[in-house]
Amino acid sequence: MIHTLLRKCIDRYPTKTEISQVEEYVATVPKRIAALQELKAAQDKIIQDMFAEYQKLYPKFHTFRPYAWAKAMRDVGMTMALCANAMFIGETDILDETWTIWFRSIMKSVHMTPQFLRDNYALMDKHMRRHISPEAYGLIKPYLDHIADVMCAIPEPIRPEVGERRPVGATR
Amino acid sequence: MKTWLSDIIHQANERYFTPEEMARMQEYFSTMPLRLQTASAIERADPVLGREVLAELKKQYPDRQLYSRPFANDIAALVPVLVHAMLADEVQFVRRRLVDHFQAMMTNLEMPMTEVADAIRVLREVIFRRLSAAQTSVIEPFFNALLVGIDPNGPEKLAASSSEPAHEDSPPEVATV
Repeated sequence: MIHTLLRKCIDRYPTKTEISQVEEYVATVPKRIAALQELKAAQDKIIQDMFAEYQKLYPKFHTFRPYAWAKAMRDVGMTMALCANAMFIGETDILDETWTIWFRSIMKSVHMTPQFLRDNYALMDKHMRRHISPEAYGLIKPYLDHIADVMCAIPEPIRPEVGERRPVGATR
Repeated sequence: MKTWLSDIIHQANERYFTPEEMARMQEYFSTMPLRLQTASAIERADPVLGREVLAELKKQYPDRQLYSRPFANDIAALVPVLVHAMLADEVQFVRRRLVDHFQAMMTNLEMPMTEVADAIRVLREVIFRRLSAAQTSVIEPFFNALLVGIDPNGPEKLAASSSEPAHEDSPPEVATV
């Protein structure tokens, strides 16, 4: 919010609308701090429960590359931190500049499928909702949705490297 | 555009913000309403600044030939840069965007440093008349940084060295809202 405003206002004064938006944002900062801390504290449980389900959905994924699930867990942890930070500062632009576009290229290059990624974010969403308060979830969800929307916009790979998907639900 | 805020955001990247980073940002965010009110108050004065600065310069320094309407307008045109630096709480903007430029210009055009600095002081007076004490406190460090930069022996040097600047590496010392 404020980071973007500063970039826009290099050669002009802030508009009334921008001022109102910043004032509204500033009033929510204590809640955003609480939400970030809540998500950080719940992160391990969310990842644990999420991957218990994810691994059942893709039982052969680990056969495609060494430490496949360990790397996926690490990436989900990073995604949660980025999501929480973006929520705290109230900006999605920074996510795309520093992470999502770049990371989406990586996912394409290692032949992930759009469905695999949709399942990833659906499971993150599901277990985040279970492990944090509705207020914290409400603040974080728009940022998770933004990441999911950008990340899932990849083409079907010619040779998928995620293995068979067992249809047990958990799709977006 | 590099600021201390963008540095924190980019350095955190794939980890959570630390408590220290969040405290620094929270303190700054809490001052934003005051910074924005100050920007609005200055914006309202913006259309008449050139005229008022010139009138005041003529009154205070009737013998100086440098002070013309175009000169006064150029001095008034500094204000949006100072406001942007104040909004960002980034005194480096003043140095990068104004001080270096002024030093080169004064040398190249053989402009008297004292007369330019006095015009900026008058601009500061004209603006401060329209601001509350809290609003003044939030923009003043940026005027002082400009004045110290172009007139290192001016009165601002003493003021700047006697109190910690409300920017750069320390949180702003302004009323929070």
